[in-house]
Amino acid sequence: MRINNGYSRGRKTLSLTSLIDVIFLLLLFFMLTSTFLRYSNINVASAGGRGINADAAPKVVLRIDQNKLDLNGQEINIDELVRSLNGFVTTGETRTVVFVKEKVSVERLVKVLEVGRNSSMTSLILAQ
Amino acid sequence: MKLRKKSREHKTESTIPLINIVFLMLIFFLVAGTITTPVSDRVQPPELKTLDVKMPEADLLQITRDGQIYWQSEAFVLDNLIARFQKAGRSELKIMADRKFNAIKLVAILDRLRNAGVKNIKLVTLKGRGQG
Repeated sequence: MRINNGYSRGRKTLSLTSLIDVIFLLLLFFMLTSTFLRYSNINVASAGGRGINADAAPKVVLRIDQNKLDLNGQEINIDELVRSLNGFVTTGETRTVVFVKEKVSVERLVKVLEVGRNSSMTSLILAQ
Repeated sequence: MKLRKKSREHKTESTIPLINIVFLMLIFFLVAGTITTPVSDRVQPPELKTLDVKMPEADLLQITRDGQIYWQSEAFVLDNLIARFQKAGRSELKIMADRKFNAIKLVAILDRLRNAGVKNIKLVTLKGRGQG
C-alpha cells in the first residue's frame, strides 16, 4: 500500500509538467506554422502564341498605362471601366484584349483586372 | 522574514497562471491562424480587397521583383521549367509574382506557359485590409 501511495503521488505532480510540455509544443507548432496573411487568386488568360486572327480582330482593346487607362483609344477613369465594358457587352462583344504598357507593375495590372472582372465581359485576355 | 515565507508559497503557485496564459495563446493561434505551406518572403504578392480567401498550395511558381523564378523553393531557368511542365502535361498553375515585377515580362511568361499547354493560370494575391 505504501509503495502504491508514494508512486501515484509522484505521478500526479509529474503529469502536470508533462502537460505543460505538450501544451508548449503545441503552442510552438501552431505559432510557427500559422499565418495571418490571407491569400486569394485571380484568373489570368493570355493570348499565347496563336496571336489574334485578323478576321476575329479584337473590337475592345484596353491599354493599361501607369496612371491611365485607355479603352479603344479613349482615356477613361478606372471607376468608369465596368460601365464602359458593360456598354460593349450590350453591343455583343464578350472579350476584351488587354495590352500592358512599359513600366506597368503587376500590382497595377492585377488591380485593373480585378475591376474588369466585375463587368459582364466573359474574358479579359492579356496580349503582348 | 515573513516576506520570505510568502515568496516561497508563490513559487509553487506560479505555474498555474503560466499554463493558463500558454493555453490562451494556444487557443488564439488555433483559432486566428491558418496553417499554410511555407511561402518564402522573397516575393510580395499584390494586394486586392474583394476576392475570396483561398490559401495557396505548395507548388507555386514564384517570380521575384527582378524576375528570378522559383518553383518549389528552387531557382529555375524558365526554359527548363517550361520543358518540365510540358513533359508532365501540366495544365494548371498558380503564379505568385511580386507586386513590383514588370507586367509586360509577366505577360511574356504567361504566353510562353500558355504555349506549353498550361492553360489555367491563376495569379496569387494577398487579401488587403480594405485600403487601396
